[in-house]
Amino acid sequence: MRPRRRTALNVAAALMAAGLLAGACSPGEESAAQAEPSPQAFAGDALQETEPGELLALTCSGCHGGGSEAIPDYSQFDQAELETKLKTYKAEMDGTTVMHRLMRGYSDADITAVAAYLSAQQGSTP
Amino acid sequence: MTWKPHRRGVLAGIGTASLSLLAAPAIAQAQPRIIIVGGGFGGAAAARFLKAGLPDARITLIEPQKRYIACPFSNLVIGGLRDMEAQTFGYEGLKAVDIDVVQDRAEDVDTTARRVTLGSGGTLSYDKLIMSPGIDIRWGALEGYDEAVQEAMPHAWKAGPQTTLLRDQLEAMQDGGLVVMSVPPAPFRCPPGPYERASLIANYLKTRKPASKLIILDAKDQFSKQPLFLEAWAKHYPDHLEWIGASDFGRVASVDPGAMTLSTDFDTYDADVANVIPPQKAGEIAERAGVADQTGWCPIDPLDFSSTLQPDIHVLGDATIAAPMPKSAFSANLQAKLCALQITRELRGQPLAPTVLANTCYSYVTPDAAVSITGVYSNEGGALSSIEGAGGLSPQGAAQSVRAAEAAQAAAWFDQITRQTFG
Repeated sequence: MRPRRRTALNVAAALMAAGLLAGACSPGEESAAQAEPSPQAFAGDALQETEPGELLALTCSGCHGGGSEAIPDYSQFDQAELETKLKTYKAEMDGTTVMHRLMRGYSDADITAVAAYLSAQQGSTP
Repeated sequence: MTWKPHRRGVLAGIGTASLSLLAAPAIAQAQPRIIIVGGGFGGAAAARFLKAGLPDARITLIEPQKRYIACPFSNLVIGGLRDMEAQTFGYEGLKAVDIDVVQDRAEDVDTTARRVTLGSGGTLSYDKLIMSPGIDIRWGALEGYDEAVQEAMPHAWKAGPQTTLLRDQLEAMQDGGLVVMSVPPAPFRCPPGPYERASLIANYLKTRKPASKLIILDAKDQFSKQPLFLEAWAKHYPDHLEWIGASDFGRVASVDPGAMTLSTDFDTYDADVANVIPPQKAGEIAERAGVADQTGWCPIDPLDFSSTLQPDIHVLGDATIAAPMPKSAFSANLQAKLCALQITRELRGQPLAPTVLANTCYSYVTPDAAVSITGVYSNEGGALSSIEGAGGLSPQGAAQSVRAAEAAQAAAWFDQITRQTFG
């Protein structure tokens, strides 16, 4: 018979029983400070539903974030500006950039969620 | 019990008093052991994003090469427009965030004991294994093309010494020579890659060896970004590039490295330089781990890129069956981020939800002009599907300013994705 697999839950319970969890700190902040630029720490908290913007935004950072002129960083935009820009790309049927073609695949609700998530990540006003 | 049930809320039956004790940091302290096999755009990105999401997990990357040579942009090296150094990345950025980088080959995987055997003979145990093994060549699948032939007829489909070899052969060729490229049937790594390479070889011939010519012998009639490549070739390389599709008997049936010939069903081509892009499969460790099926590629659940064949193993990148998502560095990097986030959420007891994914691939058609293909995909319902009305190609007949803008975006993309993957 296959060895019983550990689950996150029972490992955590075992560690708690052993008193190993004292002083547990926020995992996200620590790693974010370790490398520049670093992957964003995932923002979700336990037991919450999946944040749709967090999943949607995974695609964005494949191109954006390098600080080049050719591909702008979204950090310069607040949530409303991001949402407007993304919806404009979606609406401009004669647009020539990859963003025009990409945004047509996202619902307005997707765009709102990703704009909210990205702007929250960079600390601007949601 | 597996980790999978967490998706559907294993914690639901636990009272609220217990829940408050199981805050996210507590679960993250469980120190799961996660092994990643392969240090490319999938594996290295997975390691970095898992470390970000699960800072207390023990993350080990197994990769035999000390330095990673990137395939994207390596066609510019072959075209004489870029140095190999610009393609080369180390693992210092992973080590700096406390990822254990084991420079060894993963030889085997025991999926029952959940253990990886290394080339050195040692073993490593995992709770989760992420495999991003890239491709291997199906030696012999094209008659005459076995492993020894890659020196005479380089494939250059894994960037590295093969890239340099093909570049050197092009440089050594006399003006007036014939370059022949063979393109296999799909699926293969980087669907537009052969045609970008052909463009940049033709550019080299046109500018440096103008009496020379490139012939592409293709096992297909349709290929990625076809109208854009055909437009660019007619405009820039009418005397230096000829594409012969399957309907015109372009499919190469056999090669003879001694005679330097490539034979289709009707013709034999004498090449001065032969670039044989051979049939491919998932990196060999995938087969040994039992995550590849009879096609040679790896079926996955696109929700989190978990293997549908083995428990506690995820597969990323070129090795996977993820169509319509292409075998690209962008895809591998995105799949890595998705997989890392889903594993993070799973270990925190959070449910997994489907999402929208996308891919963007640029191809150079001249040194200062590029074209792109994009796709947008849903991973809902157990399969990836293209979202209708989205994605597609750069406009045909566009001004050079549009092509130049995409060339600049391609360069910015490369900088960003390599920084994000390797640190």
